[in-house]
Amino acid sequence: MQRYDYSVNLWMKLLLYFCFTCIEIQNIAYICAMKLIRNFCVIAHIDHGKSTLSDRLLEYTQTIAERDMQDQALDDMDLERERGITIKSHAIQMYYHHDDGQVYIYNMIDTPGHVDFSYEVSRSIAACEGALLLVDASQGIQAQTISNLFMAIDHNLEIIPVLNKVDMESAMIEEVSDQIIDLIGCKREEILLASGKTGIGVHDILRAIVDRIPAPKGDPEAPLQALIFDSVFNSFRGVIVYFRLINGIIRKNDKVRFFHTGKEYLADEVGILQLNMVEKPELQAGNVGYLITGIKVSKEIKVGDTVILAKYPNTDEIKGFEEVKPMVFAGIYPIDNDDFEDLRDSLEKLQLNDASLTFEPESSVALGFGFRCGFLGMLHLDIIQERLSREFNQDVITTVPNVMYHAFLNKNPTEKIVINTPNDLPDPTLLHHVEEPYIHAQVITKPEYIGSIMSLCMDKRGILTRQTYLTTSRVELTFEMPLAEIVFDFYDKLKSISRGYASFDYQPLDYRKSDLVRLDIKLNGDNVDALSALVHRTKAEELGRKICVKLKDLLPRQQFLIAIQAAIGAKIIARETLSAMRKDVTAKCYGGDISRKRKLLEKQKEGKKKMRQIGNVEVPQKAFLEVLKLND
Amino acid sequence: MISFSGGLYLHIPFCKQACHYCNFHFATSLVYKEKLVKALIKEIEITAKKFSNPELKTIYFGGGSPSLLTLDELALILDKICQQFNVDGVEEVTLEANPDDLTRDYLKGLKALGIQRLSIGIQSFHEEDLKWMNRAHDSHQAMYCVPLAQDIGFDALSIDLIFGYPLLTDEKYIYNLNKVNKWQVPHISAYSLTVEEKTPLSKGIKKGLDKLPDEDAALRQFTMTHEILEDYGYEHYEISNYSKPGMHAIHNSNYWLGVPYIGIGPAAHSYYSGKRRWNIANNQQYIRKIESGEDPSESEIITSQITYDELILTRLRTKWGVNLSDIETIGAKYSAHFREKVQELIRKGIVQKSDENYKLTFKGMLMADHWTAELFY
Repeated sequence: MQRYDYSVNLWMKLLLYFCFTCIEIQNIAYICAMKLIRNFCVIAHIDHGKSTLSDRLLEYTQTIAERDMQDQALDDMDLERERGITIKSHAIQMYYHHDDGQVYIYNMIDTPGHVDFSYEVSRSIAACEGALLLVDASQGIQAQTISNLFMAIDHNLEIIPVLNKVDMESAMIEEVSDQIIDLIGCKREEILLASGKTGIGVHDILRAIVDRIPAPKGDPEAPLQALIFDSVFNSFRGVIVYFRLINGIIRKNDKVRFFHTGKEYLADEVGILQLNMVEKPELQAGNVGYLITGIKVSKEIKVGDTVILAKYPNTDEIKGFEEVKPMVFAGIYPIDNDDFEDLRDSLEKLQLNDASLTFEPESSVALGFGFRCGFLGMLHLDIIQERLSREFNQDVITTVPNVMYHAFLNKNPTEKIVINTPNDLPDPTLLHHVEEPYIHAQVITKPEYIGSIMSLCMDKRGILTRQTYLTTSRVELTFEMPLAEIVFDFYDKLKSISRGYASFDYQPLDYRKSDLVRLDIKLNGDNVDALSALVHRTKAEELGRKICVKLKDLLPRQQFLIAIQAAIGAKIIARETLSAMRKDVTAKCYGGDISRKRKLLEKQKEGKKKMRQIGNVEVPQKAFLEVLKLND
Repeated sequence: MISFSGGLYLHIPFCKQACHYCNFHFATSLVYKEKLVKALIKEIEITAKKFSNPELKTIYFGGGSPSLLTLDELALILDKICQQFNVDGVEEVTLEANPDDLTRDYLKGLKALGIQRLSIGIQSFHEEDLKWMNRAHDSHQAMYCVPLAQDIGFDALSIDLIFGYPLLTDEKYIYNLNKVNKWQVPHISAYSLTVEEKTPLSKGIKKGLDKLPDEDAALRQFTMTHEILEDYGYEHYEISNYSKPGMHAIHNSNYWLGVPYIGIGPAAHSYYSGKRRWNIANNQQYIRKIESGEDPSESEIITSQITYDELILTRLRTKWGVNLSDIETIGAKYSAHFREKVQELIRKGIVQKSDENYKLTFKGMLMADHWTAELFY
């Protein structure tokens, strides 16, 4: 027994020794590998050339052969390419052959470039150790760049400033360099000059990434912690999760658990992201990759969540997770009532790859059955509408958008009631008070536009909290303002009064007391529920008047006079009158052309069929589509 | 072979100048007139040959300006018609004419060719109105063409008037109506100005050079026409048409009464053998197609629904009205639909019913299109 025991011990020891050595070697390998990884993102304003420069980096590192190159390879939705903005972020891995003889792994994480997606940006930033700050040399720094830059600085990212488009005649290299130096306190010689178009400076950038951005720090031996920074829906594979490994190792067939949802899945496949997905048996701390678990709905994936191993359920989460909440709500209705189920299908499909879209059925007297949808912001709403039309051939009627309000009743003033549709606003007599969301808004502009921008923001109930000159020719204005005010024609106005020389960014701030009313539109005394809007009392009259004037234009005359009114409760605050139609007759029927006349009348009748009846008034669908375009 | 008995319409697509409100098909260059007349003659022959012993009840030269045809050209066309069709039963031969074309010799020639009835496009007797319309004639020609035609022996005259245009005051319009009544012409067409797309008038309005017709004035003048002409012994037998008893336009009324017709010439419409057809609205292409033996027309088949809709469309606006039995012939679902829908219109005073016959009241006529569409299936 002794001998046997001994021998077992000896074997065990040998085995253990061998294993430890292997693990040690493996660990050293991991650590070596980690030293060769660089994770970075690109911070840039729309149009500042991020996509083009990214393409050059991919080409230079031969990640993509030139012939495979579709311009701006990273934006893969048509809509994105057309609008020139990156809506959903992606990641791509490239290999850089450094002069020191080593091959480095670069994980470039793309970031969405619009104000509505700032949380997503923050998660992409959290997955990196460094950032390229890309600034258009002819335009200078824009508001959104600054807020993303500060976010990156807050996360201790190493910033590599890059002046892009330096080959352009209008490039102001000195001036924009001054702006950058003021902003991040770097040395002038640290700013790289580049042109995505001609390829100038691409090598300098690739080199600076190794030299300046630190390698990731993480413990491959610690339990798995991976940060989800994005996900995409693939109709064959289900939801594909993009993550950054902070600690530990993820292997194929690991049982993983998502910290916040608490759900567990089998890792069917893990791998790295090149132009296509490349499957790997495992990925280690410091790297960026994808995970496929067969999840079918993207709602189960929350950006910012932490992937851990199911066998270590007590592993900590990675800080910074937030539940993404819709900020703007609107009713979306099919133009034809029969298309309701199709619309539901389409929204479900959109939600598969856009978990931030929410919807639930609602109904309207005027529009029939539709959905109350929640969006991250106005751009997000626009994108959804456009995708419905483009990808699903669904043209829809969208009601007046509103933000999410909190109502408090007299009977229990501490209990918060969430209001995201005008119909839910309780009767004023029952209301204790209402609160509305405020945002922290930054506008960066030229000094000559300060006056008009301040008056615009003030008119939008904004409070100026700070005015900072970034340089002599660039000023940053910071406001606190109600989110509701940027829902209506804010962007367009900002753009026109500044002739395009103003950039805008915002972050949610808090909820504040508000004098909110429900504006109703009435036709001959009957409410048009689809046109009701939640609006601040001081804005109600202006909006009401605009809608009435527009409706007068859009409604066909009928056999009786139509009173178009805007009302708050019983009080009428605006009115237009549409006179009755009294004559509708074709005098002459040319040479026996009965067909033309019949077809005209058939069309007239067809149009009538598509009208919605509000009381005794017939309203064409076109009116619902057009009435809310109040800018023109 | 199928038979034919009905009207013959000939479209003469030329005008001296373009009236600003007109969207009919015409050209102001006469370069192709000779070729076109030849093509018309050829089309008459081709069409007539589709039928066995086709017979005509009415012949109508419309346009455009048929009075731009020379007497020789008219003779050629009429000869061909007589050669190809049985014309023994013809009740009416009408030619649309412009006052500026009606010289004594031309009128005599028309009479000699067998034209019985003239429809004269006077429109107004006021010089400034005619200028505004861009008519080719002046007020002097407007004043003298009617007595001249009567002098030559044309009793069956019809006069076109327009109302509801910005320059026309009620006083000026009453003057026009009285003038026509004084001559005791048996037929008057009084059209409310319609702004048609792609006319110089609609373009002018878009540019702000012209005003839209005033609806109040148009309604007033429509009412005036009805009241004054009925006082003078005219019968309001179709929305825009008035006649002395028994003197209604046979050819045009047949459009409303569903009688078949053959249309000859560019943009002309036909209705026979359960189809509506229309020729291409382009002179050169029409000529080319006829010369090369191609069919210049497009057509549509008249389904039972179209038959019903057209019955409503054509009959409701006339004094003859719609008979329920005619609707029942098309199909029971149509008569059920009609019966259900028409109740509301009777209640509103839009439609009047006597026995099983329905027609628009005067009130209903003001929005005839609206109510017609309402009754469509």
